[in-house]
Order: sequence, then C-alpha cells, then structure tokens
Amino acid sequence: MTSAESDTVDHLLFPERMVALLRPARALELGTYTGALSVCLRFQELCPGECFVEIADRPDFTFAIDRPRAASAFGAVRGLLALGLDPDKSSIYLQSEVPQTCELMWTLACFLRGRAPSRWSATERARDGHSLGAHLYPLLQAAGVLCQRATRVAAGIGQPKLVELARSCAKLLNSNSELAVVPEPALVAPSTAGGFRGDASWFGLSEAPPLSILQDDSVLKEEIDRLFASPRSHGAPGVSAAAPLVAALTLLAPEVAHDTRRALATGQITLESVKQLLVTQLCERFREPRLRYRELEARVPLIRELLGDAAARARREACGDTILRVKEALGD
Amino acid sequence: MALEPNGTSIVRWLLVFPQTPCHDEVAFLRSILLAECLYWGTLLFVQRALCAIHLGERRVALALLRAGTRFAAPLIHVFHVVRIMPPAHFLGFREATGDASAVQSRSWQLLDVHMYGVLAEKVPVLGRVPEVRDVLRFANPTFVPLVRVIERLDGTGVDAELCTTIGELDRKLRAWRKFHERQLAGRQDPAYLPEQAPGTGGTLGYAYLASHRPPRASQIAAERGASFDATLDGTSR
Repeated sequence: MTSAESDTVDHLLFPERMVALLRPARALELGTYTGALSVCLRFQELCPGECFVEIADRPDFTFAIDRPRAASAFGAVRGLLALGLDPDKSSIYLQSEVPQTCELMWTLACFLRGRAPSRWSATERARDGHSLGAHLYPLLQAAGVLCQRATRVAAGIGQPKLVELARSCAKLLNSNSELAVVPEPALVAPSTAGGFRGDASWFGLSEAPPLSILQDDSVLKEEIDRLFASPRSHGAPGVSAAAPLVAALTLLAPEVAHDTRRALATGQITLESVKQLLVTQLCERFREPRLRYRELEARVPLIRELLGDAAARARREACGDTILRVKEALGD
Repeated sequence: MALEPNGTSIVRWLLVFPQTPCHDEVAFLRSILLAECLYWGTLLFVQRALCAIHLGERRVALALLRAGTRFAAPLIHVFHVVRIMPPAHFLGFREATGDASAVQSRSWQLLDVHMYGVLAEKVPVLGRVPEVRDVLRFANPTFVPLVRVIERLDGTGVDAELCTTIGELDRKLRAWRKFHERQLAGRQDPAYLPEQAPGTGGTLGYAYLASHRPPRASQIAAERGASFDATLDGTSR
C-alpha cells in the first residue's frame, strides 16, 4: 500500500453523511440553489437518508433579524421541498429543534479555551456590537456539523470558514482521542463569469434584497430592477452594469449568457433586455418548483410533520458520544 | 473497525466456540456474523469510494476500493464453513430459525445495491421485507452504482486502475454469491434444498437466486472497449 493509500484508510472511517446549513432567508436564492442545494440534491441520490439540511433559524434572533422567525423558516422548508429535496432521502430540520447542537457548542467553547481557531474569536459581528450569541454563532455552526458526525459539509462559496472551523474543532478534539469525524468540504465549483461568484452574498444583503427564485414574475421583475438599478449598487469600478446580470444568466443558461455577452459587446442589446432575459430564464427554469411552492403553502400539517420527524432523527443521531468524551476530556 | 471500545476484537470473539454438541451450527452462525462484518466493511469503503468518484477524487476512490476489496476477499472462504454442515442439520437450522432469511441482511442488500443498483427482479421481494425496504430508495436513474461507474471512466491512468479494482471487487462478491446459490440453494447437493422448495423470506428459493442478472464489470468494460477486457475478464487470470 502506498503512503497516500494508507493516509486514506488508516484512520477511523465513518459512512458518508452530509450536512448543509442554510439560513432561511438564503435558502431560496439563486446562489444557494446553484451552490449548496445542488450538492444536496445530488448527494441525496448518492446516499439516500444521509443528507441532513439544517435550517439555521437561530440567527434570526441571534442577529435580531426583523422577520417572523417561524414563518421564515417554514417558507424556506417549503422552498427546499419545492426545489427537489426529498424528505424520504434528506432530513430537513430546524436548528432550534436540536438542543444537542447548543450543548456541543457550549462544551466546545469551554474545551477550546486558548486554542480557538483565530477565525472564530475575531468575528466582525462581535466588533459591530452584536450580541454575545453572535460572537458564538460560528461555533454553533461548527457544532451543527460535528454533532451529526458529518463526513461532508455542503458549503457554498461563502462558507469555507465554516468547514475550516468545523475541521479545526474536530482535529483539536481528536488530539485527545479519535472522537470526532473530521468533515471534508463538498464545495461547489464556482460557476464564475464576469466576476460573479455564484454566491448570494455577491448581491450584498445589506444593500438590497437577495434574488429569490420562487417569487412571482412581477415580484421577480421588481427585485431585479431594484438589485440592478444602477452600476453603483453592485460594483467594483470597471465592472459593467450588465456583467452581474450576465453572470446570473450563466448560472441558469450558459449558452444564452454567452450569446448575451457577445450581443452586449456589439451593442445589439440593452440593459433592460438583459434584465427581461434573466426574468424569463428564471421563470422558465423554476416554473414547476414555483407551482409546488404555492401548493405546499396549504400543506402546513404535512410540513410540520416532516420537520418533526427530521428533527427527531437529528436528535437521535446527534452524537452524545462526542459531547460525553469532550466533557471527560474537560475533567467533568 | 472490528474493535470494541475496550480493544477486544469482535473477530476473536467470533472464533471462540462454546461447549456444544452442535459445532456445525455454531460455526454456521459465526460465519454469518463474520460475513455481516465483511459486508459492512466492504460497503463502507464502496459507499465512500462512490462519493469520492462523484467529487472527482479518483485516487482516493482507488485506495478506498482496494481496502474494500480486502474485506470482500475472505467472504467466500468464510462461507466454505457451510460444507461441514450436513444437509439434515442445515434443514433443521432453517426450520428452527422460522421466518429469518438472508434476504433480511440489510448490509448485504445495501452492498448489492451500491455495487449493481436495484435489480428489477429483486424489487418485489425487497418491497415485502420491512428490514430492507428502504433500500428501494436507491432505485432511481440518478444513482450510479459502482459497476456503472466504469461507463464513465476512460481507459488510462488512474481510471484504468479504478476499472481493474472494480472488476476485482465484482468478482469477489459474485464468487461468494455463486457459492451461496450453488451450495445452500441446493444445486451442489439437492439434499440442502429440494427442487421446488420455497426459499426463506418468501422467495422462490433457487429460482429467485438464479434469476438475478446484475450488470457485471467485465461486460460493461467490454462494451466500453477492448482495452479493458484483459484486465477485467476473470477467466483471463
């Protein structure tokens, strides 16, 4: 056996399991769909039953987001189901329904004293005067991954820090004994074009609402108008006003985007036409999910039941072993 | 993997026999438990290899599959222990275990599915057995079982090595399966299972086992091109 092979197999191996952490507001964005969610959709077919999608509903009160928490999380679940997550193959649950995550976070916070990964201890949020909860939030995310013994994390382009932190925590825990799975990232290759990073954060949540893919046509049109109102609203100098639109188009229909880029270069098409093209592409691509999304609005008991079942499973799977061993390591 | 938290080996435990006048029966039970361990071991590596292939980590997948093949290799040898069991004892064991059946082995069914996909001829039986019904979740066109991965490999470099390793693993598993079919389903000696006798788990016995036609790695490789034939055709070795 070569050294590379022995590196691969000479440590504890666990069955594949993927965890994706999605904020409710971002669950239905184009960037999430082409990013973390697309990974989940493939993984649920590859390892049915081992895809865990945690709706991170705690940030809404951690960061005092002005939105009815339950309704927002509920809408996210509806959207995820409409976009293809199969509850028979994926467990979709609310972060707040799995208290073991908080327990592990707290235990980790105690265990990591003086050994905290730098990215955790200096969050911008804390500097911005957010709550202590906001300061601890990255650790809560990492605990959500470790708690489920995830071998993979479906991280969008904007979440490499989460994977890094979860891996750092697991390695620190394992310096005592092999007790945590060190998760691997399942990063989505960026579908870059024109500087677009394939991630919803590009749109700048603080400046404009994200581009949600399950909106009605008219709302979608308004949203795109608002998001791409002027070159100043999105951009680095030198990036043309149409570039982000074309980049968004690239995620949906690369050939159309290619043609559009050429037409823009030769002045054959206006900015308004590109906006309309984007609306049309979004409507076509997500016609059926949008119908399902509306149908699911009336299925509240069903969704509640699905969430309840998935949370029960997540609680069952949450590794009490890890928590106990970390406590032992702490001398508790 | 087979270590208990206190460091003892489950394999060691399985190899220690109690005082009993039914050694062949104990040996048979232990061989089934050993086989279960080997199925799980193989399955773990196959499942992880499939994910690695999916993510483009083919070198990692190769190492995983080689490790998985080491788990699959002893299966046939472990199961040879059944030869020490006289047909009358085997039939008595069958009677005593009531509705228990190899069909209920979740680890085997999962391994079979990861290797070959859900075979259409198994669907009715799998749907009837609650212990393995969830295996049908793999019955969808987007799930690509390991032998079908060969269709997506080119014949050079790490892909060729992957192809060879998948072929080896396929042969090990089919050798075990063929032995099960011939020996326990009574083809070698009809005294083990008389002609037309129903199988356990509500199957047709030998007819059920013989009806399975999984896609073989060697066939798929041959369809991909002659370059794979020499490495994957078991008869050439």
